[in-house]
Amino acid sequence: MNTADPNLARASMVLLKQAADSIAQVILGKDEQIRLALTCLVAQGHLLIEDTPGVGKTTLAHTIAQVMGLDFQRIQFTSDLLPADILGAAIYNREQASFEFHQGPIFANFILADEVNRATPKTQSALLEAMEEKQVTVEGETRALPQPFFVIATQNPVHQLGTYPLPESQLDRFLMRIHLGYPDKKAERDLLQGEDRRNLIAGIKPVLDGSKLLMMQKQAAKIHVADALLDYVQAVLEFTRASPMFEFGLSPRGGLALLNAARALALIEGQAYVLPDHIKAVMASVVNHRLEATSDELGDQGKTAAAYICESVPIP
Amino acid sequence: MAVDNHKLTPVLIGIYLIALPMFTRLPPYVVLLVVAFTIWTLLLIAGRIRQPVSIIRFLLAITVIFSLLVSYGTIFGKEPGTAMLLMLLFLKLFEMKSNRDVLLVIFIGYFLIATHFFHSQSPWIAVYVFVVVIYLTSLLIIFSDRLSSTSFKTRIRISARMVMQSVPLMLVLFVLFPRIPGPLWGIPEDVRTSRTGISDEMSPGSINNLISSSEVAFRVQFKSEPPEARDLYWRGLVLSNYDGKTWKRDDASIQMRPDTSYIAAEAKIVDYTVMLEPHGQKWLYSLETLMANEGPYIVTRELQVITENEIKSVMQYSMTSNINIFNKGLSEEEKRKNLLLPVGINQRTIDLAKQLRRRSGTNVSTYINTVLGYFRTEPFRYTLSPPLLGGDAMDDFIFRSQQGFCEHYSSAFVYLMRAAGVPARVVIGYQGGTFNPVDDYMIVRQSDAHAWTEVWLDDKGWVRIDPTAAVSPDRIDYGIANAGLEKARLPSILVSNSKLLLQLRYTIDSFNHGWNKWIVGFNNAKQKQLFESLGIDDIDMATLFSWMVVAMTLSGALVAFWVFASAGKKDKQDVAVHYYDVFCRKLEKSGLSRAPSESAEEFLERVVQTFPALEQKAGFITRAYQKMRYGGRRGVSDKTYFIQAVKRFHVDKKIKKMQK
Repeated sequence: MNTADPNLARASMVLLKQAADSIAQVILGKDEQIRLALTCLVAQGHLLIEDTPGVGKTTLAHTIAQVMGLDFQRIQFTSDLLPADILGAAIYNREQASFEFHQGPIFANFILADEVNRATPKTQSALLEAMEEKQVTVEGETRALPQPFFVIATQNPVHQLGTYPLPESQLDRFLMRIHLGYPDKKAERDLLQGEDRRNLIAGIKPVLDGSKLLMMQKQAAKIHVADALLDYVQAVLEFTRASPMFEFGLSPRGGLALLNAARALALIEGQAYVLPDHIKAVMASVVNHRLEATSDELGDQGKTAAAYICESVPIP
Repeated sequence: MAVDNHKLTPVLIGIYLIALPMFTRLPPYVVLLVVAFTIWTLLLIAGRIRQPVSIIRFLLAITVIFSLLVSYGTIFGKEPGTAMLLMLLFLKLFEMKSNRDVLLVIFIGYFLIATHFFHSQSPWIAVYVFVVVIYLTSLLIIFSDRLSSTSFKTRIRISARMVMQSVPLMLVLFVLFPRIPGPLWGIPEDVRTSRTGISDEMSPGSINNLISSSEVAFRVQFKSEPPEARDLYWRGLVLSNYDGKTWKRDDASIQMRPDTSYIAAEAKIVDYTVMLEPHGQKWLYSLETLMANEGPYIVTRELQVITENEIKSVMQYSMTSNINIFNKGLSEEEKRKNLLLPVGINQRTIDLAKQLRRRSGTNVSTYINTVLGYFRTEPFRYTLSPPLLGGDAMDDFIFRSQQGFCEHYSSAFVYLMRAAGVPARVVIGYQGGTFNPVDDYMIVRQSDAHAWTEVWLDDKGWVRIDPTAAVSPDRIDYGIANAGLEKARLPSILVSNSKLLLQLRYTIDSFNHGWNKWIVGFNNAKQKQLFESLGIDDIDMATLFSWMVVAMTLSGALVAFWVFASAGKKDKQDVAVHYYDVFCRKLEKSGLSRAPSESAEEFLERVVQTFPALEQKAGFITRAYQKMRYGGRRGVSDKTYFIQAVKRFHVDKKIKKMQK
C-alpha cells in the first residue's frame, strides 16, 4: 500500500501555509477562500470563481500564480473570442515555406480565464476540453499541455447581461466553485488605505515552483481514506440521488471530486488521513455547482445544497 | 527500581489464592507462621514497619525449616516440599527489591498452583487452578505496566485472553504428549495420606464406618446387560485369618495363581469397565466371578486383583465376569487354613455349631441352611449402631447382643462353618450400586461397602453365602438405603426425597464421570486407542514427539495469526465505535447529544463550548477516536488508553457548575 511519506507531507503543509500567508497579504479577509483555492490546486482540479466584478477575482488568481511561481497566462474571454485564440494556430512561414504551429496562451502552467461566461459556447468548450484532457488537438496534431496545469476561471453571475451560462456538463469539469463576496469592514478599510494591489503582487516572492506542486499533488493523492470515510461519501452520494430536493444526484465524478478535495485539504491541515470534517469543509465548493434544486424550498430556508446535505446525512 | 509496598497487596492475595486448597493440609505450626507472616506483610504494606534486615530474614528462614522438620520430620516429599515453597513465598515478600523478585514469586506461584493436582484431579480443582493462573498472569501485567494505567478489570481481561490463547497449545500437549504407562516419576510417599475406603482387614465397626460416606468408590459402565442388584457383588479382598477380633488376609495365597477350571462352566457373561477412584491401596474391585481382565494386574488364587503400585489417581480397567459360576480349587494347605479358629475362646459358639451340625446330618448344604435359618428365626437385628462386644466377641454377639452389621454376620457365619468343619472365609468389597440415569452408568459408593462369605462345597467349589441377606433381605435386593437402617446415619443423597436435588446430584456425578473418563483417564492406552481409531497403529514415542512439536508450532501460528488479525482493523474499528458511543451517551446524560450528522470534531466544539473544563479529556477522546476510525493502521496502540479515557470520563457536578 502506498501511503503518504510523513516527512514530505509535513514539508507540504509548511510550504502551503507559507503560500497561504503570502496570498493573504494581498487578498485581505478571505482566508477561507484562499485555503479552498489552494486545496483545489493541490487536488489537481480547476477552480471557478463566481462573483460580481470588482471583488478581487482576478487579483486572487494573479496572486496565486505569483506565489506558486508558475508560468502564468491570462485570457480575457469576450464574445468574439475564437478557439484558436486560446489553443493557438498554424501559421504559414514564408521563409521556410511551411506551416508552423504558434502555441496559444493555453500552453502555460497557470491559466486565468477571465469572465469565461462572456465567450460563446464554442470557445468555452475549447477551454473546457483542454482542461479535462490536459492536451489540445490542433490541425490533427495532439499536443500535451505542460504539467502542472491549473485553470482558474472567473465568471459573472449568470443573470448578468451578455453572458452565455456554462452548461452543467461543463460546470462539472471544475472541481470547485467559490464565491469571494465583499470584504468585511476591517478588511475593506485596510484595502482602501493600503497600496495598490497590483503593485503588491509584483513584490511577492514565489514560495513554490512547478516541481514542488507536483510533489504535493502526489502526496495528497496518497492521503489515507478509511472504509468508514468511504461509507460517508457513499452515503452523501446516495442521499443526493434519493432526495426529492435535487433534479439529479451527484455523479461518480462528483464523489471523486469530494474525496480528492478532502484529501488535499487534509494535506494542507497536516492530517495524515481524511476526516468527515474535511468532506464537510469542501462540500459547499464541490457540490453546490453540481446540484440543481427542484424547487425554491432550500433557497427559501437560506440554505445551500451543501449545508442541507451536511446536516442531513448521518456520519456512519 | 524498588517495588512499591502498596503493589504487594495483590501479590499477597495471589499467594493466599495459591495456598487456599492447601490450608486444611498444613500442620498447626505452619499455619501459625502463615498468620504471623501475613500480619507482618500487612504492616509493611501500611508503611508501619520497614523491610527486615538480612539477619532477621535468615533467622526467619531457619524458623520455617525448623517448624517444617518438627511437623513433618522431613523437608522432602510432596507435603513438606509444597509447604516449604509456600513459606518461602511469604518470606520473599520481605525482600522485594526489584521487579525481578516479584517475577520470581509469580513464577514459583505458577509451579505451586500445579502441585494441587498431586492431591486431587477433580474438575473443580482444575477450574480453581485455571482461575488462579489468570489472576497470577494479571499480576505480571501490574509489574510490567509502568504507568499503572490499567484497571483491575482490564488486567483480568487481558490475562484471561492470554490464558485462553494458550489453550490450543495445552490441548495439543494433552493429546499428543507421550504417555508412559504407570507413574511418570516417583514422588516420595507421605505417611499422613489417608483415603476413605475398605482397608485390608475387618473387625467390628470397620465397614460400619464407611456407610455414612456418600463418596464414590468407583463407577461402572456395562457393555452388556447389567446384572440384577442381588448379583452385584464387587469382590475386593478375601480374609481368611481370624485372631478372635480381626479378620486378615492370607499373604501366602497372593503368590498362587487361580484354578482356572471354573471358566468352563455355563456362562452368564458381564462385560464392564470400572473407573476406580483413588483409594491408596493395591487392589481392584471386580464383579464375582472374574473370568478375564485386561492390563498388567495379578489375579490371586482367591480371585483378588492386585496392582503393583498404590492407586493414587483415577484408574480405569475393563473386565469380564460370569455371575453364574464359582471359583474352584482347594489344596490341603488351604483347607487347613480355612478351618482355623482361635483356641480357647467362644466355646458356646463352637458348641452351637456342633449342635446345629448334628441336627442337619451329613449334608453341608443342609447345615448352611440351618445356620441361616438360625439367624432368621432368632431375634437378630440388622443395625448401624451395634453395642460393643466383650472378650469372647462371637459368644457375646450370638447369645447376648444379637445386633450387628454385615461384618458381624459374615464373621459369625464363617466362625460357625469352620467350627463345624466346613472351610469358609470372609470376602469384603461392595454390594449393589445405583444407576445414574443421566449418563447410564453405575455409581458404587462407600456406603455400599459390604462383607459376605464363601463356603467350600466339595461338589461346587467356593459358594457365596451372604448371611446378611438372611437377617435383612432388603439390603441385598433394594440396596443399603432400603434396608431399614437408621436414616440419620446414611448419606443424605441416599435418603433424600427431593427429586430435583437427586437429579442435580446425578448430573454433577455424570460430569465427574466424564471428566475422569476423558481427562484424568486419558492414559497411554487411551492415547493409543485414539491413534488407532485414526488408522495409525503402533506409533512410537519419537514420532509422537515430533508430531507434538509440529502441532505445537501450528497451533502457535494459528493463535498468533488470530491475535494479529484481530488486533488489526476490524477489532479496532469496533472498539472505536463502541467506546465513542459510550462517550456520547455519558454526555447525553448532561444534556448534550450528538446529532447523527454531526462529526466528532463538530461535537467536540459544542462540548467545549458548554463545558470548557472538559476540553482536554474530550479532546483526547475525540482525537483518538478519529485516529482509530479513520487513520487506517494508525491508532492501534492508542486503543487501551482510549478505552481507559472513555471509562474514566464523566461530567461531574463541579464541571456542570462551571457550565457557561
